[in-house]
This record gives sequence, structure tokens and C-alpha cells, in this order.
Amino acid sequence: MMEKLTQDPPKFAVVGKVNAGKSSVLATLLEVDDDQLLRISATPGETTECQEFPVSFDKQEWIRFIDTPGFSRPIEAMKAIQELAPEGKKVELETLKKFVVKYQGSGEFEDECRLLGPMLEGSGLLYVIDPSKPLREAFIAEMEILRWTGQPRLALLNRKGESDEFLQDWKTKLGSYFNLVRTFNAHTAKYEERVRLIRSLLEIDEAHSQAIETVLEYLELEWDQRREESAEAIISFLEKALTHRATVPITERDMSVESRKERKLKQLSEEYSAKIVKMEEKAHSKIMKLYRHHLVSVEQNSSNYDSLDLFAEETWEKWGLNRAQLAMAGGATGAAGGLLVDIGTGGFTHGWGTLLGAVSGAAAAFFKGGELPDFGMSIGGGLKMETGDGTSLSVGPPKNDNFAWILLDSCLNFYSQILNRAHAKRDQVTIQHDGNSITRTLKSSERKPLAKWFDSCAKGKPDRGMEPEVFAALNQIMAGLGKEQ
Amino acid sequence: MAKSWTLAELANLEVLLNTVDVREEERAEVADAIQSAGAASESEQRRSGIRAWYQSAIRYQRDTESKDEAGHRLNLSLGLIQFVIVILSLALGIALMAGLVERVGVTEGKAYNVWKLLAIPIGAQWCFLILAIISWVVIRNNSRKFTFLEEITGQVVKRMAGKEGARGWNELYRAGAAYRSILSWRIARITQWGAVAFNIGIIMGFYAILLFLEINFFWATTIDDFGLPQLERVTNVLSTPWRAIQPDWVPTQAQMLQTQLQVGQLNAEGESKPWYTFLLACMAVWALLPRLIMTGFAYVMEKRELGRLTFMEKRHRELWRKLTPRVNASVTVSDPSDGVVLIDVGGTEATTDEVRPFLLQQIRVNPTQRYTAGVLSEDQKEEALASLQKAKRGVVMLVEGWNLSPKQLTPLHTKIRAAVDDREIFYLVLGLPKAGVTQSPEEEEFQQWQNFVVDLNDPETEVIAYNPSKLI
Repeated sequence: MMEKLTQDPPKFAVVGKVNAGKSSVLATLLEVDDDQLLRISATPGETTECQEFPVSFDKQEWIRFIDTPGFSRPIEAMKAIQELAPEGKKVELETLKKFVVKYQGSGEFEDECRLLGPMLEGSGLLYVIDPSKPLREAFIAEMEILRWTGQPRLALLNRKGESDEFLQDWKTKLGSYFNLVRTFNAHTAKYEERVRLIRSLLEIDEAHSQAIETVLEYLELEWDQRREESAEAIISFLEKALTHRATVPITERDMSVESRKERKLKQLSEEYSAKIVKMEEKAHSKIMKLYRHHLVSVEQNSSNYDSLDLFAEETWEKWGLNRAQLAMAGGATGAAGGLLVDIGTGGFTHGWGTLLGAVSGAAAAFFKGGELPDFGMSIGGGLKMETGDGTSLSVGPPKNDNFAWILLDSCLNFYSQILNRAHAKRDQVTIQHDGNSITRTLKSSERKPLAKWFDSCAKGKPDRGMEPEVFAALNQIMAGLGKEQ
Repeated sequence: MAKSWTLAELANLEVLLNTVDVREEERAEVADAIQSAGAASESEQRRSGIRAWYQSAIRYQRDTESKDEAGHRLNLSLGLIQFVIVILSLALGIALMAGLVERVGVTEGKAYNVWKLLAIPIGAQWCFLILAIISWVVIRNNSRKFTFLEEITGQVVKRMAGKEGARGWNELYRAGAAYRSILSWRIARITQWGAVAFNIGIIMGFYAILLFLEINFFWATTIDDFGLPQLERVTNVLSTPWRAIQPDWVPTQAQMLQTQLQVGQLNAEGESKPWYTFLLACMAVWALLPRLIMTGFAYVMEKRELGRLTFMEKRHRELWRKLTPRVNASVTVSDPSDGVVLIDVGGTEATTDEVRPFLLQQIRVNPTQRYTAGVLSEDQKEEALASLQKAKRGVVMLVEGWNLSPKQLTPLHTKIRAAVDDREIFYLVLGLPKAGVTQSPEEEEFQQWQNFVVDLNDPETEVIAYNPSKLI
């Protein structure tokens, strides 16, 4: 439980030239991807008014950011301010106040008056610049005006273009006007960069260190909680999907006429696949909600669903584990079964159980690994076949060791893409598997508990005892995905 | 440091998890408990926090119904099982010692065969113990299921513990690895108490027979491997723990020879005392003591496992999430202060996205809603009026230069003015689109619109000509 804030929360205005990416920085920093709340577009000058973003944790405001309109006429504004300074004296905060009083509502320097407002009331400032653009006089004027505010100042290099040509000029110049210079790409920044940016505020505004440190603690806690809840959603999905069976009642005629039986089986397999897809959508939606992404969509129609297609050959070849990894996992599971036989015979089998188990497990996994799914089919209630009543056909998890890994891969890939998507991006997308298998990159120590648990799920009896271990392993894998490469 | 859990409390906890929900006030109690316990790691926090919740939930439930019944009954039934096992084992030990008495020689004198006494109550017990430990360790490491003995105990507990006790057991049984280990150690402790009782039975039986019967000791063998040298060696090894302090309790070679059975004859002159003190000491040190140690070890291990609970199972994680505050960063965002409602008069072709840059850059307003005048249903009218009241900056009327109809527009303007009070109304005059792109209005048309607005006599109304060439 954090302490109560003993002073007013720190305020930071995000300022800069028109279209420098101020709103983008805020969108990513505060995870706001709603255009109605925070507009971002390529059209310059879309921010017309100062907009405040109080950030609260536990219903208490700890920090406030203010989006401001960009500088429109900085050189003229600088001159106008200088003219207002008492003769022979430097420009001070009072001069800026006079400037705002004089020009506010006059139709001239409207944006400059608005953006200076928060700083005249004591806000610190984050000056956003695009270092791929040349350092012109107008920027020097902006920096000069901001320096006159005397408030804590941090310069943010939000590079939009590719060029590094002007970077050094910028760094040299910014160093003389600002307390600190940091890089922050609003369109690629991840959690760690957001945290680093907020930590930088500590360096420029020591007076509010309690609030800023608390914000950092809360952010870390929230991030951990989100990851844990995502892991929870994925485990829950995997358990349901790996134990799910689709069932339909069948008649004697259905079973005796081959074409009818085939049709029933096909229909059931499709129903099964659609259900798995639906379950996955639910898990994905939960993750999107946790990470506050509203522009990422999950298709509701399973036939159009872009994420997981169990009938596509590519899915079984490229996702999940590769054949060698599957063979190793299958071998380990087979060996464990064989070992029990050896123990059961009191060593009479001289380790042949373990050896045969390992070899057969590995071979089965190797040869079946890349195949299209052979849905496990069973017929229940066979005693009543004659009347047709009570007989049912059911299909359930594909008989392929890779199935569980494919489902996990799909979830981890989605999770990774969600983590890597900055909130400043405003394109509406449906996230698809990007072709990079994450499960293939897992260490064998990470795969081991998962393989054992998948095996228990495939047998229809998820091992509750292993579940905490699986949760911990998954949580660790997901934490690794969030780390900067 | 929080007080350690007991098995009964865990049974109660599992039952509670399925029956009650977290109350708001309990969250504060949990936070206090974590703080006062000074728990640093997450596991410690969970132990302290979940324990605080458990105690609070039990207190709350006890007022209405006894919710710790499951643990209580479980304890009772485990105690009862232990009692039955102890009594049976005690009886078995006594019976075994009675059964080992032999009638030897022509006189059929009662005697114990020293080799059998060493082999059956002590040697066989050790073999059984070692085998049990090996198989237990192997099964424990290679299978996550309960052992046969544990399953049997579970079945007995369920039958004896009544509905609540069986429920508690079922919950523990289903809970998985964390509890499995605790249950295993508890069952191990119960069985070891049985073994302790068995060995006490052996000692009691042996002592009673010595006390009430005239009994001798002998040893004899037709196999060379069990001759005098071997007996000497075995007695030497077995008496190691006490030989230094009680040399009398170790039979000498001469005494051994005296008690050797000679052609079916019991040597009546054989001295029994060194044998019975030796055998009593053997039973105490090599049979009873290991079992006492094992019992203590099982107790310590059970306590250790109880103290190391991580509460990481799924339902514990769910409970923990309910008990601890979920951090949720909320960014309070008010509606943009430059928001306006677009009223499309007559259904222009210009889309909101097309005119938005002009509105933002030239009038400094942002369209948040759009309605078409004249084609609104009653429902939409209500919605439009509500939006007009919320629009911070006012209204932008999207009109086409050629399409001025004062008779239609004047009453509409009056309605809108009433809805927006003194906020601004902008008339954005558009030209006809060319190749799908909206153009500026003709100058003459714009002049007519300016005149119309002047006639409205509304100081908060402005007319602007759309001019895409002004866009950045």
C-alpha cells in the first residue's frame, strides 16, 4: 500500500513545434489510443487547446500531463516577449505573464499564449522535437521562450524520420537549454521506455520525487498484474481448449452410410475448430483490454478469423515446436511413462521400459508433428446403437503433440505484438500471427513443465498440482517477451 | 512472522473458498496483517494475507454457522485412524512376540531363537522400512499421484469424517502438489506412530513374557553362515551404541556358546540375562528409536511444508487478486474543450474527415458528432439536442453556398441557439465538389450567406467560407 501524497501532484506540459509529436508522446506514455480523447494525425495543428491528463492510482491523482497546442510563430513571439521586458533587464517569468495577458484573446500568438499557460502556473515541461529535422532559428526561439519560464525542463527526441544528420546539432543545442535530454520514440516505445521517461522526471523535478517514485512503483505493480492476468487468461484458454470435445448425437443410419458419417465428422470438426477459435478470441480480448488497446480487433466470425486456422497446413508446419523439439518433448514424456513400468516391475525390465518409452514417444511426436490434425474421434453410448438413441459422435483435441504448442504460440505471439504496439498508433488492425514462433525459442527448462502439463490436459485430466508451476513458467516467458532486446 | 497453517485450517480454507466471497472490510484487514507481519517476499505476503482473510472469514461465518467444521472433523477422523492403527499395531507387536516363543528340546522348554528375534522384529522391519522409503521417494519423484496407502487413508477419512470432513479432504486432495506433500507427511506420521506402537508392543510383549514365563534363549543353525562368528559379529555391531556404557548388555562369546542349542537340547545352564538385556536394548535402539525419529521427521517435514505454502494455485491466485488492491492507472480525460457538433444542413457530400483539418486549423474547433438536419428521426433529434448541450465550443453548420433557404434556416438557427445557449454557432459555407473534393463557395454565394447571418442578429454567430487552399 502506497503512502498518501503530501503535496500537490507534479504537472508537466508537453510542448513543442506544431506536429512534433506531442500528442503521440502522451498517447504512448499514458496508453490512450482513443482519437476522441487524444487526437493524433499527420495534419499539423490538430491540438488547439491545452488538454489535461491527470493520472490517478487508487483514486488519487499522482501526476498530471498537459497536452498543448504547438508553437505557431515562435520567432515573432520571442521578439514580442523581449519587447515587453523592462529596459536593460532579462526576460523573466513576469515578462511572459505580461505577454500572455497582452495577447490572450487578441487573435495574435493564440497558440503561444495557450501553451505558456500551464508553465506560468508552475508546470514542468517536456519539449518534444523531431531530431530528423534541421535545427532552425524557430526552434532556437522556442527553446529560448521555454528557458525563460524557469521551470524544470526535459527535452525529448521523438525521431519521426530516418536521418541522423542533425542529431548531434540538436543534442549540443538542447544541452544548453534543458536540464536533461532523452530519446523517446512515441511510435515504438515500450513499457521500459515509458518507465525510463518517467524516471527521468525525477532528475529534473526533485521537489516532487515522492509522487514520481510512487508513480513508478504503481506502474511496475500494474504491469506485473497485467502480465499475471494475461498468463491466467492464456492458461485458462489452454486448459479449456485442450480438454474440449465437440459432440453431436448420431443415428445408426449416420454410422452405417459412409457419406453421412463423413459429413457428420466434417461438420463436427469444423464446429470443434470454431469453438477453439472462439475460446482464443476471448483470451485475446482479455489481453487487449488489460493492455488498453482498443484499435486492435479480433474478428468475431470464425471463418474469417486471421489468427488461428487449424485446417491450414502452414499452421502445423510453422507454429508450435519444430519436429526435433517435439521429438525431444515426446521422448521425455514417453521415458517418464516407461520409467514407471521399470519401477513397477522392480527393475526386472532393466530400463527397457524407459528406453522404449522414450524412443516410441520421440518417434510418434516426430512423425506426427507436421501433419494436419487428425481429430480424436470417439463414439459414445454404443450400447443403444440399435435404436439410435443415446449414441453420440464426438471429436476432440487433435492427436498431434504440437496442438498445444500451436495454441500457446498463437497466444504468445499475440501477446508479444500487443506489448510492442505503442498507443500512439492509430491504424485499426487485426493482429495476425507474424510467422515468428515463440515456442521454438523457449529453453528446454521452460518447455519441460509446459510439456508435462499439456500431456495431462491431452489425457483429459489437467494436472492441478502442476498448474502453479505452469503459471510461473508462463509468467516468466511472458516477462521475457516484454523485455527490451 | 505469521503463525503457521495447520492441515485442519487448510481444509477449512478450501471449503471457504468455494462458499464465501471476499468482503470489502476484509481487504483492509489483510493489508494491515501484511504490514504488521513485515512480510517482504510475495510468498510471505500471501501467507500472512490469506491467513488474515481466513481468520476474518471464519469469525464472520462462525456467527451464523460453523464453518470450521470441515477441519475439525478431518482432524478427528485422522486422530481416530491414528488411534486405531496404534492399538492394532500394539496388539500386533505383542502377538508377534508371543508367536516367536518356541518349545525346544525333549522337555519342550519355552525359548526364543536369538536369530529369529534379530531377524523378524528388527531385520525384517528394517528391510520393509528401506524398501518403503525407496519406493516412496521414487514414486514421489516420478508420479504426482497419491500412493496406494495415501489413497486408502483418504477413502477411510472420507468415510469417517462425515459430510463436512469429507468435503475438506476432497478439497485438499484436489488441490494438487502443495497440499499433496502436506497430506503425505501427515499420513507418514500416522503410519510411523503405528510403527512406534508396534515396536512398543514388541518390547512390552517381550518384557511380559520374560516376566511371566520361564524362558530361555538359544541359537542354532544348520547353515554355516549363521554360526558363532556371525552371531558375534552381529551382536558386536548391534551393541555399538551402548557397549561402552553397558558392557553387561552384550553377550560374550562364552555366554553365546552356553546358549547354543546342542542336538535338540536346551542348555539349562545357559545364562539368559545378557541375551534379554541385549535384545531389549536392540529393540529399543534399532526398532523403536528409528520409528520415533521417523515420526519426528514426518512431523517436522509437515510443519516445514505448512510453513512454506506459496498459495499459488489458481483459486488462491484468484483470492489474492480479490484481497489485494488492483493497481489501475486511470487517466481522467475530459471531453476535448474544442469540441463542436456538426449539423449537416441538407446532406452535403463533404465528410467529417474532409472538413476536420480546416475546422481545426482555421476555426480551432474539433467535430465530435455529426447530425443531418431535416432528415432526423424523433429519436435522433433527442440525441442531437443532448449532444448540442454537451458540445464545449458550440456548433458548426455545414451549408452549401448555392443552397441558402432563410425560411428553413431561421427556425433551425433559433432551435439550435436555444440548445447551445451562448456558445458559438459557425456557418461553414462549402462549394460544390469537383472530382470528389469539396471546393470553396462562389464569392457571390458567400456574400449571400454573410447577409443572412447579419440578418440573424446573433453576436455569437460567425460565417466562414471553406477554403482548402489554406490547409497546411
